[in-house]
Amino acid sequence: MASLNVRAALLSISFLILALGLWEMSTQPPEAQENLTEYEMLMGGVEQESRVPPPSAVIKLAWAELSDPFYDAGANDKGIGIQLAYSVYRVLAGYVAAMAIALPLGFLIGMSPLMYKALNPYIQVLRPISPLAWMPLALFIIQDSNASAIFVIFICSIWPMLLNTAFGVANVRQDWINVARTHELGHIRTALTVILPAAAPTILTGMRISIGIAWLVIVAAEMLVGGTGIGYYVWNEWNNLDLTAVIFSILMIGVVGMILDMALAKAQKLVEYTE
Amino acid sequence: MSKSFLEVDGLSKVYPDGQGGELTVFEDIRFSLEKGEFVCIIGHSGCGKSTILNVLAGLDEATSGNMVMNGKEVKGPSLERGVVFQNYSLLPWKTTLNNIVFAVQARWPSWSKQQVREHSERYLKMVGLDHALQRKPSQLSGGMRQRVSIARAFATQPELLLLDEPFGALDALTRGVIQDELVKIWEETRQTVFMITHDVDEAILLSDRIFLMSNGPNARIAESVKVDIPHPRARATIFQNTHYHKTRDYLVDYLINRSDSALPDLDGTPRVIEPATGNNTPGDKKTDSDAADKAVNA
Repeated sequence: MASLNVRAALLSISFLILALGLWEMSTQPPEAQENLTEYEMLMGGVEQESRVPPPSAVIKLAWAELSDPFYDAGANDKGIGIQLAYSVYRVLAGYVAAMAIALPLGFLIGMSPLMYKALNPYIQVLRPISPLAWMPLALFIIQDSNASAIFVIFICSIWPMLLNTAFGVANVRQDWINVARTHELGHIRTALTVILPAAAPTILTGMRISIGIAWLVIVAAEMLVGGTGIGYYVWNEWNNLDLTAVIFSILMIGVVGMILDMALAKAQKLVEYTE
Repeated sequence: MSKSFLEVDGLSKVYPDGQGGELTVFEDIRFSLEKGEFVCIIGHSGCGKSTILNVLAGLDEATSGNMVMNGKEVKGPSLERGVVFQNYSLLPWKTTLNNIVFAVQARWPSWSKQQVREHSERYLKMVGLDHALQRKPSQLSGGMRQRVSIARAFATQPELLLLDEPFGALDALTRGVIQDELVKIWEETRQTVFMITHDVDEAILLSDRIFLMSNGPNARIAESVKVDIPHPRARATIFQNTHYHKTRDYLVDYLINRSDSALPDLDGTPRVIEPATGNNTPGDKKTDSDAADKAVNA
């Protein structure tokens, strides 16, 4: 009997083949009827109904796109790699900015019950706002579509990081704080050598949630601001009625999102500990 | 009067009792420790032993009273007072070695990496853990974790070492083994130790004196029992000493029959008891009246 992993892989592949097969079959154009109507003959037998492209077409396009992902043939014809790179760049820029605010502020809120009580109402009001609702305001104030997209990423990824950091810091075990106190560690050293590693798994969980949300939001944000990025690419191909490219880019969004999540999962593993 | 190494004077702790009133856990705690002494404190739960230890450690504050160590008032936590907690309190993200290194670096910030490491390894070797340097606490048994914790406390060479029921969470067999190790380390280092325990045998094996607390609330340290058994001691042979049984009988009798009503001397210091020499009649009126006479004469 093969190992569980091998069996799972085989099953996965068979599901894929089955799904692709069904998809391929369901998108075949119907057999041309023996007697075309006069109208159909006038139209050259062309189908009236537009169809979802079959997987074979998507794979063919994927092959073509991925074998030259970084070509640049003008504003509306850039390689998929360039479009994804724009999106990843915006996500990371907004995300890093959010980290720079959320981690120190989360520490402050976590360590000070006063700050927690003072700031909590604002956090609770701001947190449920859809990040895209900020877009008009951002566009008006910043007057730059690219920076506005980055701002939207910033505002959507800040909350999980902020709340998780505050929660992690506030719930560090008193025993460990006592260890720091009996060893006469100062505030800064206690924060860096005891509280930070103790709260790190919780903080990383927040960061992982944030990167997931940021990747969801960037697609919508780029559909709005246009110009570059994978979100714009999807919308542009829709306007071109190139469904094959739409399906291909949907898949690429999934793949990049998975890679981002896996990177954070790796980081999470590094700071994990068991009590 | 020459000052002792540690003088504790009139310590008390009052908590709100949750119904608008106040609850005095312990009051007027007076005792002194000499340099190099090993002292255990025994009492029923609720008498505030742990609070006394936390106050000594600087992790808790007494409602009144003061403590002077080496002529300096004790205030806040300090590296001069090392603590071994009942639940080990190791940092779980650090390896065994790094848990010690962490403490040694805090104690001697100017030491080189090499020096810190050698010092840390020496103390881990003392507790027989030199084979587990790179393991995380979660990969160690309870007994091994407590050994690391003991090594960490001894490695920082504090003036006073506070042990809060260090073996409370261990099974009897492991407990015995680590008691022997503690005896060994103590014979090597002659640290001044103040330790909480529930275990009469453990107290006799380890201490020079045993403080007996009366029951809370309003608990006091009623008696200070001398353990007249020569060092070095060993768990395997200590019961052959006749003083061992006298001391043990005395302690058990106190805990079962007298801890409810026991009181210190009139001046507030614990009555000095020497079960080995027969001075074990604190309940009789003689000592009481002696102290009363003194008080009247004074």
